[in-house]
Amino acid sequence: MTRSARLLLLGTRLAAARWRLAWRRRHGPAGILLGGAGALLAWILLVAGALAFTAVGTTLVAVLARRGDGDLAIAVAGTVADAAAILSVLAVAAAEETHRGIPPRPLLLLPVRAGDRLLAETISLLLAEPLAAVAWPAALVLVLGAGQVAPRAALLLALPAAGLLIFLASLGLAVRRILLAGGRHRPVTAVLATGIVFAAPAAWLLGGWREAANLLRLEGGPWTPGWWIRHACREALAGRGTALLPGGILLLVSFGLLVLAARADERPGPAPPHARGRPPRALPLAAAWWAARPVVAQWTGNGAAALLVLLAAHVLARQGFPWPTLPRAAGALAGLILASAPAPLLANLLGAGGRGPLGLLLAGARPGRLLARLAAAAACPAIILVPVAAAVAAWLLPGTGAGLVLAAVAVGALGLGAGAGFLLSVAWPVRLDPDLPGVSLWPAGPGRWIMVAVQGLALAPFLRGPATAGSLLSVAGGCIAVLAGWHLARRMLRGRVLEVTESLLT
Amino acid sequence: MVRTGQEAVLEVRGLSRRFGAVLALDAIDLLVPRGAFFALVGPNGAGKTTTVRILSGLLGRHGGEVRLLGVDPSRDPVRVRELVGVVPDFLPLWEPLTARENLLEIAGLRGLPERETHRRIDDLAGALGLGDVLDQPVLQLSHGTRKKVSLAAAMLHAPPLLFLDEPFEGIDPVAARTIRHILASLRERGVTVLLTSHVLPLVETLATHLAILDHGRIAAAGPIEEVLAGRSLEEAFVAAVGEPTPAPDLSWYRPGTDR
Repeated sequence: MTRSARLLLLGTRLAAARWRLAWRRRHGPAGILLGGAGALLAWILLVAGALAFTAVGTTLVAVLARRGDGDLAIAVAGTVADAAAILSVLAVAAAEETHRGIPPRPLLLLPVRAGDRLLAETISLLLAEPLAAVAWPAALVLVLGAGQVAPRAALLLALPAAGLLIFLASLGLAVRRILLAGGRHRPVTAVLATGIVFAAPAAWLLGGWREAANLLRLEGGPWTPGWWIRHACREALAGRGTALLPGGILLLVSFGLLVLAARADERPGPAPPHARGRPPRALPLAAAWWAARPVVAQWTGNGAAALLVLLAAHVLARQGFPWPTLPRAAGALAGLILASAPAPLLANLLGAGGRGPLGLLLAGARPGRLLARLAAAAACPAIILVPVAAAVAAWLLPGTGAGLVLAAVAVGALGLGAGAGFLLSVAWPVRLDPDLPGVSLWPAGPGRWIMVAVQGLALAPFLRGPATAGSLLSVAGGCIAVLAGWHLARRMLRGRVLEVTESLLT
Repeated sequence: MVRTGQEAVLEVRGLSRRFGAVLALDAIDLLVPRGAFFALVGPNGAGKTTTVRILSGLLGRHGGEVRLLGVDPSRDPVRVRELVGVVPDFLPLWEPLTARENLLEIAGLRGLPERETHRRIDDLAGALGLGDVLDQPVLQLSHGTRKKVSLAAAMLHAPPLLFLDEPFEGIDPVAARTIRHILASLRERGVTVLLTSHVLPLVETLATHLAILDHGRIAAAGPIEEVLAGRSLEEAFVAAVGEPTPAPDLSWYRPGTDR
């Protein structure tokens, strides 16, 4: 067994041990039984989801191979992709423990190379989340099956499948960390700003902004994962390079979700000040948070990357480059890059949303605390589930208004969540540490521009329209860029390994 | 320090290390022959732990050369970790796992066969008196017991060289005696041990070689009989690092007089 595989197993064993200890500590030996029931439920959901996904993937392959008409299979695959997203969120919510990785200190004395750890942590990130386990079978069957029909289709579907996989994994990671971030309270300004970010898609759902968003809208229905998959399948079977677009979009959104997950601090917050016999401290100035270095760095980096994209598009357009969609696509790409910048704010709001129903088990004696926890417990699943349900309903029941009603409920739930977060932050304010947001997932130095290049390459086929050569070039270029980024990361890691070791020791 | 015919397993020449403005190690030289029990003693802040960390590949150096069985720890730390067992000053264990699980994982990452691993764990648990706590999570164990588990982890792959940073710290006298016997038997098997400790009587009974470190410099070094020159280790230590400062008056210390 390789050291990476051993590290993977070690991570799993650590996660299981942490879960066992946490439940025993909170609820005694009986807690292990209670936790076991939750874990069993999560596991059943996981297996059921994985089996359903595999079945749909197999159906898709069979239909594509024998009938040559994939419409039905594509529709079913898209529906199950959405259903799996909901199913997996439930699975994540039912399981308490999160993926925390392997504490590195003991490894400092073992003959483990940095590359082994990097590989193991990356793989475990993808494997440890139930959503990823749901997505694996479908993603694999989708690509392998389509390859039986037409190798070119398989190539075009590879990116959407990878996008779906990473999307689901990152969604699971984000949701789980958000659930565990209960009790963390953030400044009001951050909560409000995040509310605006959340309200934007809801407002789009309610109408009015739909026309403005049509530049990327290629067919009806909300942009659920299933929509992207259906679109990718149709485009691939039609032989159009735009099949790569959904994958690129999914990857971009996934990246934002990963940043969100990384920012959502899962460490338990300090005890409430009054529990320590001290009066609550005043709320910290929101301005201090905005001025914090990691936040400024995040906005600066994303802003610079977006500007670079716009500048490049402008220069190309001025020189008469024959791509009529270039300005729109560049604008969309810049917007997406900027959109990933407020991820810390999203984490703040959702962190204030409480840890969901499980938090009730830990509620203290004070009525106000219990009330706040009840509100948070109600709001947290609603924030996540209602918009998803609204999107699915709007797609399943076009014209009935059900989607609009649910979207309105979603906005209400958002308000409730923000209100609960506000209550919590007033009741138990916590002084913010400027370094708390954690390490940015943006690579440093040249890696940052490589990431932008990868994003650009993912969208390149969209700019070219039906262009097989462009698609192939895009995939090849993307792979090269990813490999270059990986190589660079390894080099940086190798060069800094002693520095990192020292920081762990001192 | 190394007599004719003896092979040095560890060579340190001009080793220096700074922490900001503080010079923690000032060009120290060490030669540790194969099979020696080398004790590194010195007052607090003398640089003992820094030395062990650099030799283990955990810290970089700012000057000098280090060769550990021919390997430079800063160039090939992974190889050094294969050759050395270390009991560091921090807890090198995964707290949620039991002691047995920790040892199994460490053995697995070192590439030991499973059956052999179980045999060694049982042997070490018996020798160190860990039998009753082997299946308890490490976070429930006392400091001294954790130290013993760390020692077992360091010995599991039977390394030719052991670095032990304060192995007797927090250990009860009975366990200390057990560890002393184990270390003595390792020395008889040709294992080279480099140890830092403040427990001078134990060092005196175990060590074949000695270096006294003071303010990042070697104050005295060599075979223990040469360094001691007929004195006790405590006397040699005080002679090397200087007399303790006279006890202050503390006339203000009268219990119950302050409100």
